[in-house]
Amino acid sequence: MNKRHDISDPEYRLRQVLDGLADEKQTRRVRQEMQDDPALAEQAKLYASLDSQLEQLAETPFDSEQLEQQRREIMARLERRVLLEGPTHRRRFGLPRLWLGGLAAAAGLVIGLTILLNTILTETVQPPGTVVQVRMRSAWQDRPDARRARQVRVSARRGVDYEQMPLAPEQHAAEALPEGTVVFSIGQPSQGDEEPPLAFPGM
Amino acid sequence: MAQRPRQPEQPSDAGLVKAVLRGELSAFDQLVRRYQRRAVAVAYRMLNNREDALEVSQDAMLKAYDKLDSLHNPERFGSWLLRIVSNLSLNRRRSRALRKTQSLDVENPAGQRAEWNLPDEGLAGPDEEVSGRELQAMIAEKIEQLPEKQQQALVLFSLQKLPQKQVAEIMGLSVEAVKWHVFAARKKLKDELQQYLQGA
Repeated sequence: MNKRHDISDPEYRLRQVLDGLADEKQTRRVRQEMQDDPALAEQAKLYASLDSQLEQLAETPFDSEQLEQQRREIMARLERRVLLEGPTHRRRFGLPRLWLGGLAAAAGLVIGLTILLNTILTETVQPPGTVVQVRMRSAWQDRPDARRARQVRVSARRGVDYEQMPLAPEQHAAEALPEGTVVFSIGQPSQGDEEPPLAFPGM
Repeated sequence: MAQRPRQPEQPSDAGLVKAVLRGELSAFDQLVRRYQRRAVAVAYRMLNNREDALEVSQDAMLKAYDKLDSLHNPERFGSWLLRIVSNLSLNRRRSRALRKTQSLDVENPAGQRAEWNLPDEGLAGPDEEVSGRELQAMIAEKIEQLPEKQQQALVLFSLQKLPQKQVAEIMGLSVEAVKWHVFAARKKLKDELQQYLQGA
């Protein structure tokens, strides 16, 4: 409906009455209008004549034989299709279930593989308890107090073993650094080193 | 849609639709038997052509089978099928109008528009008396040339006697809009055929 639909049009109300869609009050009102306005009464006659013609048009010119032929054609086409392609609807209904199952299986596989790879890689590269010892020349090695550096075990899994870190009095090499900074110097022991400086923590 | 009185043992539309979806083709045959006549009638009145009506209604029933799993309310199969029928009829009508326009463009380069050609088809002119059959043919042709929504509403409500609510469902409109389109269609027919209706 839009603004162009003028339902106050007397003919619109007349049609509601003729179609039996108007209530009693509206029907009385339209009947009164028809008595007062012969033109509206004439319109009512024309509508009645049109309705009678439309009633006849509702009958179709198709006989039972034509409809039966059409029905047979429809069913024959569907039967051919089902024979060649299988029951269409059953296949369609099966697809989402297959997709869902496949999706769930794929997700499970991905999750499983991720966990497995994570475990394998972690265990292979860093089995529990293994200490990574990267032997490099220490940046602090040439410092006079470099020999105070102690070897610290650094685990890739657990980080620095703080219990092995040098105590505060030994940390002379780190005096120039801002307080609170943790420095690791991982170095390769050079020949002649009495004790190989592998990690040098400082504060 | 308005259900014809059925025997109690006859399965419901919803039951038949579910059976078709389980792969029982014979259930679709029952649905075709149940709604075929009305489907053909709607197509015929919208297209005013027997061959087109049979073809379009057949296409509609095949399409209904293909799309059956998209029908959310299987109990409304009848309305749903009629919606497919009327939509396909409108499509056919549009393509036919397009072909006619293209043809006129070729024959009539001046761009003259075709008028309703009732007298050219051997029917009576305005001043002549018409037989009942001729009047029927004139009305059928006028219906064919109504605006789409008016035509659809008139065919479903006035000719097929479907309740307005169901027509609204089929057309995807409000009941008030359907009332208006039916009114506008009948008013137009009444005004244009006034002189023939007076003597009928």
